[in-house]
Amino acid sequence: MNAGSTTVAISGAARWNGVTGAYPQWYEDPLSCLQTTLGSILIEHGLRPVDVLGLACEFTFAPDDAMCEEFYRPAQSSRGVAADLCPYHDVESAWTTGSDAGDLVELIETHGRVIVAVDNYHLPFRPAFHDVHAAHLVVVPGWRRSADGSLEFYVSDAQPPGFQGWLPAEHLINSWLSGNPSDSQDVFFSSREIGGRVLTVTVRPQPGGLTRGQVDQALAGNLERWNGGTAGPEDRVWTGHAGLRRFVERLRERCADPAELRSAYTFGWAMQAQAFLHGRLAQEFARRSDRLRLLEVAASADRVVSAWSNVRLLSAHAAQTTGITDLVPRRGAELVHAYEQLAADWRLALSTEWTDR
Amino acid sequence: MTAHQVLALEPFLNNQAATTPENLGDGRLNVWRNSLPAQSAPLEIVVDGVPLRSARLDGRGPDNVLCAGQRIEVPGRRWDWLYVIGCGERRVRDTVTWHFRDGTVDRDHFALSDLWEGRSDFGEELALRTDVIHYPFHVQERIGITLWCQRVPVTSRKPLSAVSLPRNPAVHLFAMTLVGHQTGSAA
Repeated sequence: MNAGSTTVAISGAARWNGVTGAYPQWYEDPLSCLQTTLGSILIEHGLRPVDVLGLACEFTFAPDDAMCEEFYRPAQSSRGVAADLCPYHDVESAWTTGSDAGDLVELIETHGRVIVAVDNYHLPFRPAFHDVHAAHLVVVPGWRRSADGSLEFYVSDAQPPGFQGWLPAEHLINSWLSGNPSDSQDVFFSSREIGGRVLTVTVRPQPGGLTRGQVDQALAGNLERWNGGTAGPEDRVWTGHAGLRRFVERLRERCADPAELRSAYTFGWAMQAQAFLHGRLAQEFARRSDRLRLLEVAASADRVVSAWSNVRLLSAHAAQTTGITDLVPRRGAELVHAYEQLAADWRLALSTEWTDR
Repeated sequence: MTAHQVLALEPFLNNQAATTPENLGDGRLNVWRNSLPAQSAPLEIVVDGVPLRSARLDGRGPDNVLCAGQRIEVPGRRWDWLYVIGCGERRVRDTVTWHFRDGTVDRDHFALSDLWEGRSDFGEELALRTDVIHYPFHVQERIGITLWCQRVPVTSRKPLSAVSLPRNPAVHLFAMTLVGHQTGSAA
């Protein structure tokens, strides 16, 4: 790693440079590359990913979207997916595209580091290398010219087996411009062109650690979005309790066709990961603040994580599973119940009628 | 004194977890058709004094039970725990259903950690951890598969006659042993 460098050109990275150390990486097993890449950038800016990404927990589903990428999440605000995931911090993101290595260098120069969409098939450090086409995200915080003048990019991928280091440009560029063709080995995360997509992220510093008031604000916001969710015929995004119930109903309507259920596996990853982070935050903050009622929130969030496992894996294995039409409604009902219990615990945690211990 | 009953899973084997470099494509541990490297002998381990024994893991055919509601008859008496070797495709929680000799049924919860990358979420002991993972077309280093030792309580004190597994394609079981008390067992 970092061997043989000559000219190193890194710009804008506040806490990282390619000469002196590794890029921050962050991984937990229920997380997709969307959270792990964003989390790494939050660390780079001195923030704790769990404290930022774990505040919001919600259900949101856009029925008309294509959901064939690991990093898919329904877009909500105009400030991008990062703002959707970090609504209580000054974080925003935007998707853009490039078409050659020069474009990527320029984007890195402008933004300090960027999240690059890739097809794992072309990345030598991914298990899918020259085997399976699958969409993924990596952080690219720098570029350089090596001794022989060839272009290299620094690539950081926290997902197992984990990698970071300088990579000859052609690997990243091939991966970034891949058509990511439909692949029978990965029907979940292939078939949508990578198309030179880049996610730029802006993180503005926020002084001080997480406060009890901020956590309360987040729980109240979660509860408000849960209770106020909608799933009308005109709604592009189905949200909250109403949205989840409609989503489960839709699964039941489509459960005879395994292909129709696949999106529950891909889409559910983002929801499951968020519930996991919310539970982790509740658990950690309960200890830090001696506010033990939050531990109930943590336990309920963990049940949401498990309920998502069952919905996601049942949907993924639908074609080989006997009795799928009976099982889908049952797993769906368990998922709704798990969220309802979590909402009840948000309410209890916010209640002023109880003493806190 | 405790009593153990190793349950014979051979009649229920319906999934192949282990493969050799010659038949990598036969593995069905998850949606990606990953598999674990074939082992030279069945797993035989003792946890909390409880013996657990898997079927052969030689990569030549079905070697585990993918849970699909199978009903397994057990020696009719009071049992306290069901010990298992298993893994989840992602961390997973579900229930097993107990059938009691008096015709009633009840359920207890169980939880299994992810087979991928080997972190125990529910305090399980390791049953097996591999250095590599098999993909349909290659052997991948630096990623391992983990099988876990887990236990399920039989909360009810009634004499048992059978257990039904969950209907859950994310749950793989490789060994099952019932544990009870030796004395006073004649229910």
